Amino acid sequence: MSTIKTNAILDASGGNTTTINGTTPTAYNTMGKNLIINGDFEIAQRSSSTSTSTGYQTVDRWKWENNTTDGSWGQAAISTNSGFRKCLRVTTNSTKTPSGSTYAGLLQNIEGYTTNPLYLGTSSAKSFTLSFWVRSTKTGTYSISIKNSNATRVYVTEYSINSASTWEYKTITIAGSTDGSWDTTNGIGLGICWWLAGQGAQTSSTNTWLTSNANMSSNQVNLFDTTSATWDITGVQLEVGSVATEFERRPYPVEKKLCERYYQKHISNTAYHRFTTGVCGSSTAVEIPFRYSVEMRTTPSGTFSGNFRARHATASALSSMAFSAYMNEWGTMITGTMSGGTAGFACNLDSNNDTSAYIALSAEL
Amino acid sequence: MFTYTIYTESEGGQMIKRSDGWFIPFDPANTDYQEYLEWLAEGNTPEPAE
Repeated sequence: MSTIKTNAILDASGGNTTTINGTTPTAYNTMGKNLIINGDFEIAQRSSSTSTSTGYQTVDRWKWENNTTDGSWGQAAISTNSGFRKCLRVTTNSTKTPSGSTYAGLLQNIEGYTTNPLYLGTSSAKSFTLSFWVRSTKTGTYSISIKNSNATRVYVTEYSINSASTWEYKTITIAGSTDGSWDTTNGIGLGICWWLAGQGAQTSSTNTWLTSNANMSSNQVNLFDTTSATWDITGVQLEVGSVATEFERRPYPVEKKLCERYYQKHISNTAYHRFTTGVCGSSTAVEIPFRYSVEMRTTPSGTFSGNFRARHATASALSSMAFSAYMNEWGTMITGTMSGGTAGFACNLDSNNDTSAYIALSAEL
Repeated sequence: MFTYTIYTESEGGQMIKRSDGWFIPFDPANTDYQEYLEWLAEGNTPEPAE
Protein backbone atom coordinates (compact mmCIF):
# COMPACT_ATOMS: atom_id res chain seq x y z
CA MET A 1 0.00 0.00 0.00
CA SER A 2 1.36 3.39 -0.96
CA THR A 3 0.23 6.96 -0.33
CA ILE A 4 -0.28 9.61 -3.00
CA LYS A 5 0.11 13.21 -1.90
CA THR A 6 -0.87 15.66 -4.63
CA ASN A 7 -2.80 18.86 -5.15
CA ALA A 8 -4.53 17.88 -8.38
CA ILE A 9 -5.33 14.89 -10.55
CA LEU A 10 -5.83 15.66 -14.23
CA ASP A 11 -6.36 13.42 -17.20
CA ALA A 12 -3.55 12.81 -19.71
CA SER A 13 -4.58 15.84 -21.77
CA GLY A 14 -4.69 18.14 -18.79
CA GLY A 15 -8.50 18.13 -18.59
CA ASN A 16 -10.90 17.19 -15.82
CA THR A 17 -12.14 13.82 -16.99
CA THR A 18 -10.04 11.50 -14.87
CA THR A 19 -12.14 8.55 -13.80
CA ILE A 20 -12.25 6.50 -10.64
CA ASN A 21 -13.76 3.08 -11.23
CA GLY A 22 -15.32 4.37 -14.42
CA THR A 23 -16.81 7.57 -13.05
CA THR A 24 -15.46 11.10 -13.16
CA PRO A 25 -16.12 12.71 -9.76
CA THR A 26 -17.86 16.06 -10.10
CA ALA A 27 -19.81 18.38 -7.85
CA TYR A 28 -22.97 16.60 -9.03
CA ASN A 29 -22.16 12.91 -8.73
CA THR A 30 -20.81 12.75 -5.24
CA MET A 31 -22.93 13.00 -2.06
CA GLY A 32 -26.42 14.17 -2.90
CA LYS A 33 -26.27 13.47 -6.62
CA ASN A 34 -29.60 11.63 -6.67
CA LEU A 35 -32.47 14.12 -6.75
CA ILE A 36 -34.96 11.29 -6.21
CA ILE A 37 -35.76 10.49 -2.59
CA ASN A 38 -36.35 6.88 -1.54
CA GLY A 39 -35.37 5.62 -4.98
CA ASP A 40 -34.72 2.18 -3.56
CA PHE A 41 -38.11 2.07 -1.82
CA GLU A 42 -36.66 1.14 1.56
CA ILE A 43 -38.73 3.61 3.55
CA ALA A 44 -42.46 3.11 4.03
CA GLN A 45 -43.58 5.10 7.07
CA ARG A 46 -47.27 4.96 6.20
CA SER A 47 -47.41 1.25 5.47
CA SER A 48 -45.24 -1.53 4.11
CA SER A 49 -48.41 -3.29 2.97
CA THR A 50 -49.98 -2.76 -0.42
CA SER A 51 -52.80 -0.34 -1.06
CA THR A 52 -55.50 0.04 -3.70
CA SER A 53 -56.04 3.72 -2.90
CA THR A 54 -54.65 6.65 -4.84
CA GLY A 55 -52.35 9.30 -3.47
CA TYR A 56 -49.61 8.86 -0.86
CA GLN A 57 -50.39 5.54 0.83
CA THR A 58 -47.35 3.27 1.10
CA VAL A 59 -43.67 4.02 0.34
CA ASP A 60 -42.44 7.50 1.16
CA ARG A 61 -42.40 10.22 -1.49
CA TRP A 62 -44.16 8.08 -4.12
CA LYS A 63 -47.71 8.82 -5.23
CA TRP A 64 -50.13 6.54 -7.07
CA GLU A 65 -51.85 8.54 -9.83
CA ASN A 66 -54.84 6.52 -10.92
CA ASN A 67 -58.35 7.44 -12.01
CA THR A 68 -59.54 4.28 -13.64
CA THR A 69 -57.72 1.07 -13.04
CA ASP A 70 -57.97 -1.57 -10.38
CA GLY A 71 -54.52 -2.20 -9.01
CA SER A 72 -52.66 -2.58 -5.76
CA TRP A 73 -49.28 -1.01 -5.16
CA GLY A 74 -46.66 -0.92 -2.46
CA GLN A 75 -43.29 -2.05 -1.20
CA ALA A 76 -42.17 -5.56 -2.16
CA ALA A 77 -39.10 -7.54 -1.19
CA ILE A 78 -36.72 -8.69 -3.91
CA SER A 79 -33.61 -10.81 -3.74
CA THR A 80 -32.24 -10.99 -7.23
CA ASN A 81 -31.34 -7.55 -8.45
CA SER A 82 -28.07 -5.63 -8.11
CA GLY A 83 -28.11 -5.42 -4.35
CA PHE A 84 -31.50 -3.78 -4.02
CA ARG A 85 -33.64 -5.29 -1.27
CA LYS A 86 -36.94 -3.61 -2.07
CA CYS A 87 -38.92 -2.42 -5.05
CA LEU A 88 -42.24 -0.80 -5.73
CA ARG A 89 -44.69 -3.31 -7.17
CA VAL A 90 -47.96 -2.64 -8.97
CA THR A 91 -50.28 -5.61 -9.39
CA THR A 92 -53.42 -5.55 -11.51
CA ASN A 93 -56.50 -6.84 -9.73
CA SER A 94 -58.90 -6.94 -12.68
CA THR A 95 -58.92 -6.30 -16.39
CA LYS A 96 -59.48 -2.71 -17.47
CA THR A 97 -59.53 -1.05 -20.87
CA PRO A 98 -58.40 2.58 -20.67
CA SER A 99 -60.57 5.13 -22.41
CA GLY A 100 -61.14 8.87 -22.48
CA SER A 101 -59.11 10.73 -19.89
CA THR A 102 -58.02 7.71 -17.90
CA TYR A 103 -54.53 7.20 -16.53
CA ALA A 104 -52.53 5.17 -14.04
CA GLY A 105 -48.97 5.88 -13.04
CA LEU A 106 -46.40 6.25 -10.32
CA LEU A 107 -45.30 9.80 -9.54
CA GLN A 108 -42.60 11.55 -7.59
CA ASN A 109 -42.79 15.33 -7.29
CA ILE A 110 -39.37 16.81 -6.59
CA GLU A 111 -39.16 20.04 -4.61
CA GLY A 112 -37.87 23.20 -6.30
CA TYR A 113 -35.02 23.60 -3.82
CA THR A 114 -33.83 20.15 -4.89
CA THR A 115 -34.06 20.71 -8.65
CA ASN A 116 -32.21 24.04 -8.58
CA PRO A 117 -28.93 22.44 -9.74
CA LEU A 118 -30.69 21.77 -13.07
CA TYR A 119 -31.11 25.52 -13.77
CA LEU A 120 -34.37 24.77 -15.56
CA GLY A 121 -35.96 27.65 -17.41
CA THR A 122 -32.64 29.39 -17.96
CA SER A 123 -30.09 29.44 -20.74
CA SER A 124 -27.82 27.52 -18.38
CA ALA A 125 -30.22 24.57 -18.06
CA LYS A 126 -28.34 21.32 -17.65
CA SER A 127 -28.98 17.94 -19.12
CA PHE A 128 -30.03 15.35 -16.60
CA THR A 129 -30.17 11.58 -16.62
CA LEU A 130 -32.81 9.29 -15.23
CA SER A 131 -31.87 5.69 -14.49
CA PHE A 132 -33.83 2.84 -12.97
CA TRP A 133 -34.34 -0.90 -12.86
CA VAL A 134 -37.68 -2.20 -14.07
CA ARG A 135 -39.37 -5.52 -14.80
CA SER A 136 -42.88 -6.51 -15.74
CA THR A 137 -44.91 -9.45 -16.85
CA LYS A 138 -46.11 -7.16 -19.65
CA THR A 139 -43.57 -6.33 -22.37
CA GLY A 140 -43.89 -3.34 -24.65
CA THR A 141 -43.51 0.42 -24.73
CA TYR A 142 -44.04 2.42 -21.56
CA SER A 143 -44.05 6.19 -21.04
CA ILE A 144 -42.50 8.62 -18.60
CA SER A 145 -43.55 12.25 -18.31
CA ILE A 146 -41.52 15.06 -16.79
CA LYS A 147 -43.36 18.28 -15.99
CA ASN A 148 -43.09 21.62 -14.31
CA SER A 149 -45.64 22.45 -11.61
CA ASN A 150 -48.37 23.78 -13.91
CA ALA A 151 -47.73 21.40 -16.83
CA THR A 152 -46.71 24.16 -19.24
CA ARG A 153 -43.41 22.44 -19.89
CA VAL A 154 -43.77 18.71 -20.44
CA TYR A 155 -41.38 16.10 -21.74
CA VAL A 156 -42.70 12.65 -22.64
CA THR A 157 -40.30 9.84 -23.34
CA GLU A 158 -40.51 6.08 -23.78
CA TYR A 159 -38.71 2.98 -22.63
CA SER A 160 -39.25 -0.62 -23.63
CA ILE A 161 -39.58 -3.72 -21.53
CA ASN A 162 -38.12 -6.35 -23.79
CA SER A 163 -38.32 -9.54 -21.76
CA ALA A 164 -41.14 -10.51 -19.45
CA SER A 165 -40.36 -10.82 -15.74
CA THR A 166 -36.70 -9.87 -16.19
CA TRP A 167 -34.95 -6.95 -14.53
CA GLU A 168 -33.78 -4.41 -17.12
CA TYR A 169 -31.69 -1.30 -16.48
CA LYS A 170 -32.89 1.84 -18.25
CA THR A 171 -31.18 5.19 -18.69
CA ILE A 172 -32.69 8.27 -20.29
CA THR A 173 -30.88 11.60 -20.75
CA ILE A 174 -32.93 14.74 -21.16
CA ALA A 175 -31.76 18.18 -22.25
CA GLY A 176 -32.97 20.63 -19.62
CA SER A 177 -35.70 23.04 -20.67
CA THR A 178 -34.28 26.51 -21.25
CA ASP A 179 -37.59 28.31 -20.90
CA GLY A 180 -40.85 28.09 -19.02
CA SER A 181 -41.68 28.77 -15.39
CA TRP A 182 -40.05 26.46 -12.87
CA ASP A 183 -40.46 26.52 -9.10
CA THR A 184 -37.16 27.07 -7.32
CA THR A 185 -38.35 27.04 -3.71
CA ASN A 186 -40.66 24.69 -1.80
CA GLY A 187 -43.19 23.94 -4.54
CA ILE A 188 -43.03 21.29 -7.26
CA GLY A 189 -39.76 21.77 -9.10
CA LEU A 190 -40.22 18.73 -11.30
CA GLY A 191 -42.75 15.92 -11.44
CA ILE A 192 -41.75 12.57 -12.92
CA CYS A 193 -44.38 9.94 -13.62
CA TRP A 194 -44.00 6.37 -14.86
CA TRP A 195 -47.20 5.57 -16.74
CA LEU A 196 -48.63 2.06 -16.79
CA ALA A 197 -51.91 2.53 -18.63
CA GLY A 198 -54.31 5.16 -19.85
CA GLN A 199 -55.46 7.26 -22.71
CA GLY A 200 -55.55 10.59 -20.93
CA ALA A 201 -53.40 13.26 -22.58
CA GLN A 202 -51.52 11.00 -24.97
CA THR A 203 -49.05 12.50 -27.42
CA SER A 204 -47.01 11.32 -30.37
CA SER A 205 -44.48 14.12 -29.76
CA THR A 206 -41.91 12.39 -27.61
CA ASN A 207 -38.40 13.39 -26.55
CA THR A 208 -39.04 17.11 -26.89
CA TRP A 209 -40.30 19.79 -24.55
CA LEU A 210 -43.99 20.58 -25.08
CA THR A 211 -45.79 23.69 -23.89
CA SER A 212 -49.09 22.05 -23.02
CA ASN A 213 -50.01 19.12 -20.85
CA ALA A 214 -49.39 15.55 -21.93
CA ASN A 215 -49.04 12.38 -19.93
CA MET A 216 -47.99 9.49 -22.04
CA SER A 217 -46.94 8.37 -25.46
CA SER A 218 -49.56 7.11 -27.90
CA ASN A 219 -47.58 3.85 -27.85
CA GLN A 220 -48.27 3.31 -24.13
CA VAL A 221 -49.09 -0.33 -23.29
CA ASN A 222 -51.97 -1.27 -21.06
CA LEU A 223 -50.59 -3.13 -18.06
CA PHE A 224 -54.16 -3.74 -16.98
CA ASP A 225 -55.23 -5.87 -19.91
CA THR A 226 -54.86 -8.94 -17.74
CA THR A 227 -55.31 -9.64 -14.06
CA SER A 228 -52.33 -10.36 -11.81
CA ALA A 229 -49.92 -8.57 -14.13
CA THR A 230 -47.03 -6.95 -12.23
CA TRP A 231 -44.69 -4.01 -12.78
CA ASP A 232 -41.68 -3.54 -10.49
CA ILE A 233 -39.28 -0.63 -10.23
CA THR A 234 -36.26 0.12 -8.05
CA GLY A 235 -32.93 1.93 -8.04
CA VAL A 236 -34.45 5.15 -9.35
CA GLN A 237 -31.96 7.95 -9.78
CA LEU A 238 -32.08 11.38 -11.39
CA GLU A 239 -28.77 13.20 -11.64
CA VAL A 240 -27.23 16.16 -13.37
CA GLY A 241 -25.31 15.33 -16.53
CA SER A 242 -25.56 12.97 -19.45
CA VAL A 243 -24.10 9.87 -17.81
CA ALA A 244 -25.97 7.46 -15.57
CA THR A 245 -23.75 6.64 -12.63
CA GLU A 246 -24.09 4.03 -9.93
CA PHE A 247 -27.09 4.44 -7.65
CA GLU A 248 -26.31 6.65 -4.69
CA ARG A 249 -26.77 4.60 -1.54
CA ARG A 250 -27.30 7.18 1.15
CA PRO A 251 -27.22 6.08 4.81
CA TYR A 252 -30.66 5.00 6.02
CA PRO A 253 -30.93 7.76 8.67
CA VAL A 254 -30.10 10.37 6.02
CA GLU A 255 -32.71 9.05 3.59
CA LYS A 256 -35.27 8.83 6.39
CA LYS A 257 -34.71 12.47 7.33
CA LEU A 258 -35.10 13.47 3.68
CA CYS A 259 -38.47 11.68 3.68
CA GLU A 260 -39.50 13.33 6.94
CA ARG A 261 -39.40 16.76 5.32
CA TYR A 262 -42.60 15.61 3.59
CA TYR A 263 -44.11 13.10 6.01
CA GLN A 264 -43.22 12.01 9.51
CA LYS A 265 -44.87 9.49 11.75
CA HIS A 266 -44.15 9.40 15.48
CA ILE A 267 -45.14 5.94 16.72
CA SER A 268 -45.50 4.88 20.35
CA ASN A 269 -44.22 1.29 20.01
CA THR A 270 -44.64 0.91 23.77
CA ALA A 271 -47.84 0.90 25.81
CA TYR A 272 -47.19 4.22 27.54
CA HIS A 273 -44.66 5.97 25.33
CA ARG A 274 -43.82 9.51 26.46
CA PHE A 275 -44.14 11.56 23.30
CA THR A 276 -43.38 14.94 24.83
CA THR A 277 -44.18 17.26 27.72
CA GLY A 278 -46.69 20.09 28.03
CA VAL A 279 -48.65 21.95 30.65
CA CYS A 280 -52.13 21.85 32.13
CA GLY A 281 -53.91 25.10 31.32
CA SER A 282 -56.77 24.18 33.63
CA SER A 283 -58.24 21.08 35.22
CA THR A 284 -59.48 19.95 31.81
CA ALA A 285 -57.19 21.52 29.19
CA VAL A 286 -53.65 20.58 28.24
CA GLU A 287 -51.31 22.37 25.84
CA ILE A 288 -48.40 20.37 24.52
CA PRO A 289 -45.67 21.84 22.30
CA PHE A 290 -44.57 19.34 19.69
CA ARG A 291 -41.36 19.80 17.72
CA TYR A 292 -41.01 17.94 14.43
CA SER A 293 -38.03 15.67 13.76
CA VAL A 294 -36.90 17.90 10.86
CA GLU A 295 -38.05 21.16 9.32
CA MET A 296 -40.95 20.30 7.04
CA ARG A 297 -41.48 21.59 3.52
CA THR A 298 -44.33 23.84 4.65
CA THR A 299 -46.83 23.97 7.50
CA PRO A 300 -48.03 20.36 7.59
CA SER A 301 -51.39 18.75 8.06
CA GLY A 302 -51.57 16.55 11.15
CA THR A 303 -53.49 13.65 12.58
CA PHE A 304 -53.61 11.40 15.62
CA SER A 305 -54.33 7.70 15.72
CA GLY A 306 -54.98 5.56 18.79
CA ASN A 307 -55.32 6.32 22.47
CA PHE A 308 -53.44 9.03 24.36
CA ARG A 309 -53.33 10.34 27.91
CA ALA A 310 -52.01 13.32 29.83
CA ARG A 311 -50.12 12.48 33.00
CA HIS A 312 -48.72 14.46 35.90
CA ALA A 313 -49.69 13.37 39.44
CA THR A 314 -52.34 11.16 37.93
CA ALA A 315 -53.05 10.08 34.40
CA SER A 316 -56.12 11.01 32.42
CA ALA A 317 -57.20 9.71 29.05
CA LEU A 318 -57.53 12.51 26.53
CA SER A 319 -61.13 12.63 25.36
CA SER A 320 -60.26 14.92 22.47
CA MET A 321 -57.12 16.15 20.74
CA ALA A 322 -56.44 18.80 18.13
CA PHE A 323 -53.61 20.60 16.40
CA SER A 324 -53.39 24.30 17.16
CA ALA A 325 -53.60 26.81 14.32
CA TYR A 326 -50.38 28.30 15.69
CA MET A 327 -48.16 25.84 13.87
CA ASN A 328 -45.48 26.20 11.23
CA GLU A 329 -42.90 24.07 9.43
CA TRP A 330 -40.92 23.55 12.66
CA GLY A 331 -43.51 22.59 15.22
CA THR A 332 -47.01 22.85 16.57
CA MET A 333 -49.07 22.90 19.71
CA ILE A 334 -51.29 19.94 20.50
CA THR A 335 -54.32 20.68 22.63
CA GLY A 336 -56.34 18.10 24.49
CA THR A 337 -59.20 17.60 26.92
CA MET A 338 -58.47 15.72 30.14
CA SER A 339 -59.89 15.48 33.65
CA GLY A 340 -58.31 16.04 37.04
CA GLY A 341 -55.56 18.33 35.85
CA THR A 342 -53.98 21.15 37.84
CA ALA A 343 -53.45 24.46 36.12
CA GLY A 344 -49.77 25.26 35.75
CA PHE A 345 -48.55 21.72 36.30
CA ALA A 346 -46.36 20.07 33.71
CA CYS A 347 -47.72 16.91 32.17
CA ASN A 348 -46.58 14.27 29.73
CA LEU A 349 -48.33 13.32 26.54
CA ASP A 350 -48.29 9.51 26.54
CA SER A 351 -49.83 6.75 24.51
CA ASN A 352 -52.51 5.20 26.67
CA ASN A 353 -51.89 1.46 26.76
CA ASP A 354 -51.58 1.58 22.99
CA THR A 355 -48.44 0.37 21.25
CA SER A 356 -49.60 1.55 17.84
CA ALA A 357 -50.73 5.07 18.69
CA TYR A 358 -49.09 7.68 16.51
CA ILE A 359 -48.90 11.33 15.53
CA ALA A 360 -48.45 11.93 11.79
CA LEU A 361 -47.63 15.09 9.87
CA SER A 362 -47.79 15.57 6.13
CA ALA A 363 -46.37 18.29 3.90
CA GLU A 364 -46.29 16.31 0.66
CA LEU A 365 -46.08 17.83 -2.78
CA MET B 1 -64.91 12.03 -1.02
CA PHE B 2 -63.98 13.95 2.09
CA THR B 3 -66.04 16.55 3.88
CA TYR B 4 -64.59 19.37 5.95
CA THR B 5 -65.30 21.19 9.19
CA ILE B 6 -63.82 24.43 10.44
CA TYR B 7 -62.33 23.81 13.88
CA THR B 8 -61.98 26.85 16.16
CA GLU B 9 -59.73 26.67 19.20
CA SER B 10 -60.17 28.59 22.42
CA GLU B 11 -57.74 31.37 21.46
CA GLY B 12 -59.59 31.92 18.19
CA GLY B 13 -57.25 30.17 15.79
CA GLN B 14 -58.87 28.01 13.16
CA MET B 15 -57.96 24.79 11.42
CA ILE B 16 -59.78 22.76 8.80
CA LYS B 17 -60.72 19.30 10.01
CA ARG B 18 -61.11 16.72 7.26
CA SER B 19 -63.56 13.85 7.67
CA ASP B 20 -60.72 11.32 7.93
CA GLY B 21 -59.41 13.10 11.03
CA TRP B 22 -56.64 15.22 9.53
CA PHE B 23 -56.21 18.81 10.68
CA ILE B 24 -55.29 21.08 7.76
CA PRO B 25 -53.73 24.54 8.15
CA PHE B 26 -54.72 27.56 6.09
CA ASP B 27 -51.41 27.42 4.23
CA PRO B 28 -51.41 28.01 0.45
CA ALA B 29 -48.36 25.74 0.05
CA ASN B 30 -50.06 22.82 1.83
CA THR B 31 -51.45 20.43 -0.79
CA ASP B 32 -54.28 19.30 1.50
CA TYR B 33 -55.33 22.94 1.77
CA GLN B 34 -55.13 23.22 -2.02
CA GLU B 35 -57.49 20.24 -2.30
CA TYR B 36 -59.81 21.92 0.19
CA LEU B 37 -59.87 25.04 -2.01
CA GLU B 38 -60.73 22.86 -5.02
CA TRP B 39 -63.53 21.29 -2.98
CA LEU B 40 -64.88 24.77 -2.19
CA ALA B 41 -64.59 25.75 -5.85
CA GLU B 42 -66.85 22.81 -6.72
CA GLY B 43 -69.60 24.54 -4.75
CA ASN B 44 -69.23 22.69 -1.46
CA THR B 45 -69.30 24.36 1.94
CA PRO B 46 -67.71 23.19 5.19
CA GLU B 47 -69.77 22.02 8.12
CA PRO B 48 -70.53 24.62 10.82
CA ALA B 49 -67.65 25.41 13.15
CA GLU B 50 -67.34 23.19 16.20
